[in-house]
Amino acid sequence: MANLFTIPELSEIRREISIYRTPLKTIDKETIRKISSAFDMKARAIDSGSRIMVKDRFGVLEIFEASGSIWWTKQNRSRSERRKSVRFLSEKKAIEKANPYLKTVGLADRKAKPKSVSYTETFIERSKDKQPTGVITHQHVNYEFSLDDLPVFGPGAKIQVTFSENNQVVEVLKFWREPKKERRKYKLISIETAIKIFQKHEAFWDLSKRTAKIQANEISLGYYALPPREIQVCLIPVYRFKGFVSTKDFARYDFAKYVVAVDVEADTLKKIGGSITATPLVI
Amino acid sequence: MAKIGIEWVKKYHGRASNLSNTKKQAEGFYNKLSGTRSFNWGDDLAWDQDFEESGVGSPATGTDTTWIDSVHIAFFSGHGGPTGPLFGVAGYDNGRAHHSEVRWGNQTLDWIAFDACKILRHEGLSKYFLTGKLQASICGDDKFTGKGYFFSGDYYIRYDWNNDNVDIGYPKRIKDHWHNWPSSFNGGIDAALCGDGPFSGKAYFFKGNSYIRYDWGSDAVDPGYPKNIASHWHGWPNSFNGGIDAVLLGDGPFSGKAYFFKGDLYLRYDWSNDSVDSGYPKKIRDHWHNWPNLNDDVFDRWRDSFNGLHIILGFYTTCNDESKRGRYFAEYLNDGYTVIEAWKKACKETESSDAKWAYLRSGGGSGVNTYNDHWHGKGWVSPDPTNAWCAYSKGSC
Repeated sequence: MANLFTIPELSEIRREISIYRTPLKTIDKETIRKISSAFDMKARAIDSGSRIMVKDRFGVLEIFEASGSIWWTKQNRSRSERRKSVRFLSEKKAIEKANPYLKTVGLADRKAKPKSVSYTETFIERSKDKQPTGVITHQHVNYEFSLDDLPVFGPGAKIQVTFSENNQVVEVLKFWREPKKERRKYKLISIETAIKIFQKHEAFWDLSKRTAKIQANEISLGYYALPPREIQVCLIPVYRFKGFVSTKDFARYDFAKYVVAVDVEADTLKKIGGSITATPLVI
Repeated sequence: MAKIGIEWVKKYHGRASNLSNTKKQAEGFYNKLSGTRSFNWGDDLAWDQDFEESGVGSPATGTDTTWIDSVHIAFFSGHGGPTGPLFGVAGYDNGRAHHSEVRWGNQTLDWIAFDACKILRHEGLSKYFLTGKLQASICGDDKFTGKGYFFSGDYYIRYDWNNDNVDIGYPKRIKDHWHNWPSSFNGGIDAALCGDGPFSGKAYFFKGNSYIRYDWGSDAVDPGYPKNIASHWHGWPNSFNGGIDAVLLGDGPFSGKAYFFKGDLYLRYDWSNDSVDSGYPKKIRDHWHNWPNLNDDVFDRWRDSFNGLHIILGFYTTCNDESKRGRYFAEYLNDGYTVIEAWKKACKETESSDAKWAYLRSGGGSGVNTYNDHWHGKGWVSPDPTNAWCAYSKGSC
């Protein structure tokens, strides 16, 4: 009889990993002024709780207090249902244009590399009997981060530059916490241990090999970054499991689970100023 | 005061894997959004019939007028797919709020958000790839190893062997991505095949009595092509002569095989036995997972659900089992962002750029503008649309 889990065979990736602390940045008036001027904004900053916001009739700038992440949006850029198609640059040229733009606004980062070019698409169906018409309204250059040749997963590690009509930048976001590397390295749990933790996760408690199949296609080591408005004092080393689940009632759906990959005592973490004890073993 | 309702499922009792964060997700939304909290049903008390219209679809046991259609905004967190959300218990209907069973907005509901995977999946060009329209297929080689390519008209889709799934973002136009493609091959090809042995690193595309040779290394058609097939190819199996739609070399766990397609059927050829395997031909859609079908048209699935409803919010792709999106969505609504912009921002904050937010909204009628809808008390709220037309949008998080 088939097993419930199918896991790819892997050799040990590495035994140790560096920990990166992500201390809170002070966002003072001078920092806000510098960032605002990069986007040519002069309005007064407003503290909205999780974000410091600068808003004028041309755009909105948001600075996330917990991470120092930045999100600028041109006002009215979000009319994502424009009826006319826009002619965009080739993907290569879009990247070539996004890179210097990031330098200009002070958001370029050597740890980030272009990952993909994607599009916002809109389809309008005028009536049931007519084929919907589709247009591409925005082009996005997406960047991913890596540290020590390991990817940083999660929503808190990305840059996105968005182009609209006339290939003008209408939105840019950089979700990132400036990391500081700890001197010592930390012991990783083995892949076998990670697999055991993954298999014992509550997600799979009620599944039976008679009616379900769980297939992990990929296991990779990296760090995990929480959303930009969350406090995170260090990037969490994780093994990412990607694959799919099939059951009798729900055929074939994808999953990604992140198993915390370090074997560190809570008191050690406290000493380095980190706190991943509140993080569950599987994210 | 505007009313809010949520439903969430963590425990699926073996119907699907359990989820860890749906309760936090939905309650984050419920507790943060300013409004009247009407209901919060979770796990075994979250039922598909709460979303369904009485007398519509099968089974026809809907109670949405008491629940989902009794509030202005509803939020569901749990498993889902293109046909609708999945529930942990099936005893009160069938555990699935299928799109054919729902009619929203004829009472109160204006907006519904699905924190669930692929509810709003839409492939605008899927119809090209329905049975009988497929024209050619081929295995990637060199830097394109691990992929399978299916061609139809001027478009192609890419299949990933390891994931056993069609890659996101396809179909694409052939001439934009296959270099030096001759204009005489525009409008469709008949079949394609990867070279093997001494011909490895090459791909062959057939159209009428001609073929071209593609070099994977240089990622371009070799000079001197198209050429005449009859002058250069001999001894292909007679059974599919003159009628082959496509042929594809197997890879990964399927290496050593070749797959020949004709209409909605395919047969498997074994290179080592030099023969077709027994039990073939078989139906393509029974064995090739996630094959695009009519169900990939978001308008066909959800159009009839709009009965005064303004917007369905969800995802085109898979989304993560995470806990913060609901709270952020509520905060953006409270801050005065439009419903659409609040959803997009909450999704961007909580997903990597691989995920895609999506929405489907209805329009039509005097003074109707659902695009600019805000949460009640925070700005413009459109009158209910007549559902004369629908607009769908998706983009990277």
